[in-house]
Amino acid sequence: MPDDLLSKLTEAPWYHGQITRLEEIPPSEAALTEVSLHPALQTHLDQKGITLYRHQREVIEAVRAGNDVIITTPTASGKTLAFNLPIFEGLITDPKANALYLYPLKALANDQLQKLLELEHSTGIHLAPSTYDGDTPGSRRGRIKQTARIILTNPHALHYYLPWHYQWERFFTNLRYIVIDEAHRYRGVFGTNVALLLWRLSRILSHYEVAPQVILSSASIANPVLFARDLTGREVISVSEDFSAHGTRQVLFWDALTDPHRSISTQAAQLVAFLTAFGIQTLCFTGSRAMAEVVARAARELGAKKVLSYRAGYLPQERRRIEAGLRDGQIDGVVSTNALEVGIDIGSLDAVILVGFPSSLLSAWQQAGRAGRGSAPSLVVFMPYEDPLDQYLLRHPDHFLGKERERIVLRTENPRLKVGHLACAAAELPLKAEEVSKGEEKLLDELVKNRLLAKTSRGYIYRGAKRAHATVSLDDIAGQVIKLMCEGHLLETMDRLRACRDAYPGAILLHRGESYVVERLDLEEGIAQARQEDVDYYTKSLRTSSVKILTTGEAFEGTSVTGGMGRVRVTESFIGYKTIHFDRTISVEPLELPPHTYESDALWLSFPAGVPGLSHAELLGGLHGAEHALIAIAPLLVLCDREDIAGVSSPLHEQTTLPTIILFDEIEGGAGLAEVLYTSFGRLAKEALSLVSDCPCTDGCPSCIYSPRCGSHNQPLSKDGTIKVLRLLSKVTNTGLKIK
Amino acid sequence: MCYQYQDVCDSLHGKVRRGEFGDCLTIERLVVVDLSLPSKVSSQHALLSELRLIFGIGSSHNQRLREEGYNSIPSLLTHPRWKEAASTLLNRWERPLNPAQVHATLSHWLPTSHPLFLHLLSLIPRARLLFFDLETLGLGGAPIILAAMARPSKEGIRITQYLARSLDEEIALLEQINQEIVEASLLLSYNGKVFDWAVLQERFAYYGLRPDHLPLHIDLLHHARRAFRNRLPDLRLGTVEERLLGIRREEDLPSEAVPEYYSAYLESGNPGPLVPIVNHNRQDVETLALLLDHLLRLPDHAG
Repeated sequence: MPDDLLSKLTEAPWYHGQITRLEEIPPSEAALTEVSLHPALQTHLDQKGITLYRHQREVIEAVRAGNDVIITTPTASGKTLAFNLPIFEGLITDPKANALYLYPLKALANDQLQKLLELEHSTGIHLAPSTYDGDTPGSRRGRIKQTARIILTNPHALHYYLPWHYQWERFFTNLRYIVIDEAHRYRGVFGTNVALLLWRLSRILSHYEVAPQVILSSASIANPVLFARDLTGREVISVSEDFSAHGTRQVLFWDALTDPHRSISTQAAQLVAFLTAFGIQTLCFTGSRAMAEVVARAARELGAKKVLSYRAGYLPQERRRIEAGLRDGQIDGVVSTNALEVGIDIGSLDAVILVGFPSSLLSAWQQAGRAGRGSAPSLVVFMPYEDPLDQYLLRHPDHFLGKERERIVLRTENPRLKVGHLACAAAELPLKAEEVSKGEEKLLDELVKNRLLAKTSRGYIYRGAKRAHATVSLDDIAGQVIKLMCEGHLLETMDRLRACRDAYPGAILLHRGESYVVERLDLEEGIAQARQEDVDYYTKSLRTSSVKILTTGEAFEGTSVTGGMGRVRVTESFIGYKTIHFDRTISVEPLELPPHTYESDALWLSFPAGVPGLSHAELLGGLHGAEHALIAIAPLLVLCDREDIAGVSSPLHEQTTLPTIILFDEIEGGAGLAEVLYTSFGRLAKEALSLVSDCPCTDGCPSCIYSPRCGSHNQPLSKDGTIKVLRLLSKVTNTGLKIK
Repeated sequence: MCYQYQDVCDSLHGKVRRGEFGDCLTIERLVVVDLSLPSKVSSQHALLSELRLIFGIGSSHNQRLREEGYNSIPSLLTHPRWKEAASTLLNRWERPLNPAQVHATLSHWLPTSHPLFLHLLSLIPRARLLFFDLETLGLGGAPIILAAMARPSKEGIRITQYLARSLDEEIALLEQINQEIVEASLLLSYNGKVFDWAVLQERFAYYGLRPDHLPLHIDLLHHARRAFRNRLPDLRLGTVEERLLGIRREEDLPSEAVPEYYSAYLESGNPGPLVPIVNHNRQDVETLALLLDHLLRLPDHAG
């Protein structure tokens, strides 16, 4: 990377003063270490010229000692090798022992299989690793179950195999390790379903009298130990400190809005073309496939001929070709959707450009971590959108650069999710009274009433006519399932709330990086019909809600602010949708969908003495603006989609009879998000306040208090009012909102 | 002994069978069926005449050997090229022929629908042949509520049905089925390889049990399909009965109605809805015996 790169950049004719901050992260040396390993494994490392890092040794020693472990070191720090080594050792020492590797996607399992086959080949240790999933031919299944000592699969497949546990007896009775790789992908509804699936797996394993060690690998998160406990029920040892080598890393904050004449995609293309012209291999991440293609095409038009776009669903050989092309210089740059973020091994490059904040620091650094080969210098460019969260990070670069990461929460108590897994569990083995809690007993009695279970002296047994497993989808909330169809193929399924929110007629839906236009949504039939079409705009539904507080779990009372957390009933109306082209709303269309009512988790904040110094109009606009700002900043505290938290505000709430803001999980049954916001509310309010007060606008704008999905079209809003409301709220300290 | 379910016992003429895992109801019935199995001699002859059961002998070798006068596996013991293979096979089959070994060889070389499989029947004592048919509450992972097991006897077939009078009794029913299986060398079913036997294995495993013995298994659906594929619109048991065996079921309960009837019984305690279920299940297993007899009488069957 040339030394005068930056001065060349700022001298470029198209440069318009966009760089707001340049941060240089100094290089770090590797902390290497020796571990005495099985000779075959040692020879393998010697041949590849690998010396282990200290964090890898920590993992090896923890696994050897029989502990459950979570590893959260960054991308390209050798996590996979760290757990493969002690597992191979364990499988050599005990020639009957087996290991199960769980991946969120089939493609990832296939990639990992290649690594295991390579390790098997070079060490000469025969373990017959094999994937076993929907793609496994029937003719090979029996043999894999009888002979493979490492089986790689995914949660969706495992869900269907559990009722046939007796066919897996050989594998299960000697199962010694369970690896859960890319564990950070198990969040929200999917994550909670996977936690419940792992509970079912563990009760089957205890039926076969085994309790394997669990090894989790994840991107960096704020709460690795708690998350591992939520997901697996185990107390794990956390290995998070990175001892691998890094070169100097420069991080540029690029404010695209500074140049009013060029769109963000044009600026991204200019940067790609500029960097690749210096031989700097560049990977550029965008939010959608359409955007990736616009940027790649524009970069080629600017003379960067060897820039490709990349999308999910590429076959392994296509990916290998891109990898090889990057290695031998046939390809200078790749513009990709975040499909590349997910553990797919395309190797490291010199520079990474993030077009838009990918909704979490976890993802942002997974992507940024692609920059930097060994100890060579690297460059990361963050190019935020006109969006409150993006702009907040632009103005608070230290937050972006800091070590802090989001929490992942799971809510295995969500009855809407639990009930399906209880039915499945009872179909796998009789569910004994001592296995269930009081709350679960209620759900089981419901299932008995619906003739799905029977209560017998052996426990609850499944008696439904259809297989229990066919009625539970790991991606959805139990209940009505809407199928998203395209040309007769099932793209995905979604629950009713998500269908109304994302798959209304006219909606643009992204599925694995491809865009689809929804033509029809029939809620009664449970079908959403879509066609594939590349478009350069997107849509957002406009929603309004009314919220009724049902029960209060926690409460606090201050003089100026009171609040609480608990269960609510939400009635959500879908009133229309906006079409947005390059950040500009080009049309608003009405929608005719019936309102949807569901229970969820919420927190609420009220002002017993009002908000001093505000007129009634300012109060209305202030509560509304504060609600938007709090929601906008929430993804920094807890890993979720921007659409997962919603809110309502009112100058006189029917139940509290006070000016009140309510924030709730926009997920049926709740996902535990509101609880995290409640427990760290002081921080949430402070960051929301600085989001609004640091924004240079005068009356509120899309970078601070406007919400693109606001059902009342961002009316009324008052920036002054918002600041006053948030000031009051930010006086609430973290300890002011105690939780058990 | 039957007091808790007195009505059920009475209306089904059943008796309570007590086991380690509890009680279930048994209903016994002797049905006169003309079931003529091939003689041991003719079956041995048929099995030993199939030269293609020797590794390396395909259609062309088979034809040439027959032209040269080698008509049976024992006759190959004098053949310079095949004598060793023939001797290995005959040693493995033992004398008298060991049904399990013969079955293994047939399964290796022939489709499961091949008529030679039916010759296994005469290598096994009649009382160790077991027809079976199950009724469940659904198609996947649902409990077994009723099983019919039948053995050939001098007069015809002796059918024993095992009924779970509540879902608590499923495990007792499995225990009785296990007893029956222990005393069987060969199972006969209709679509039982895909359905009934798979369900049995799954339900045993569900309660942490396993069958104490794994008998050989002949699925008559495979044989019926091979024999009647071109003559029947479909191969449902009802179609086979009506078109081939001349059986007309009066007021038969369709299989798919079994869960509903059983649930009605569970909820009301009234045994009325059990009667058609029990009759349906018994007729199914009776048909199995008649179908076997029919298959054995076909001209292309060497017996």
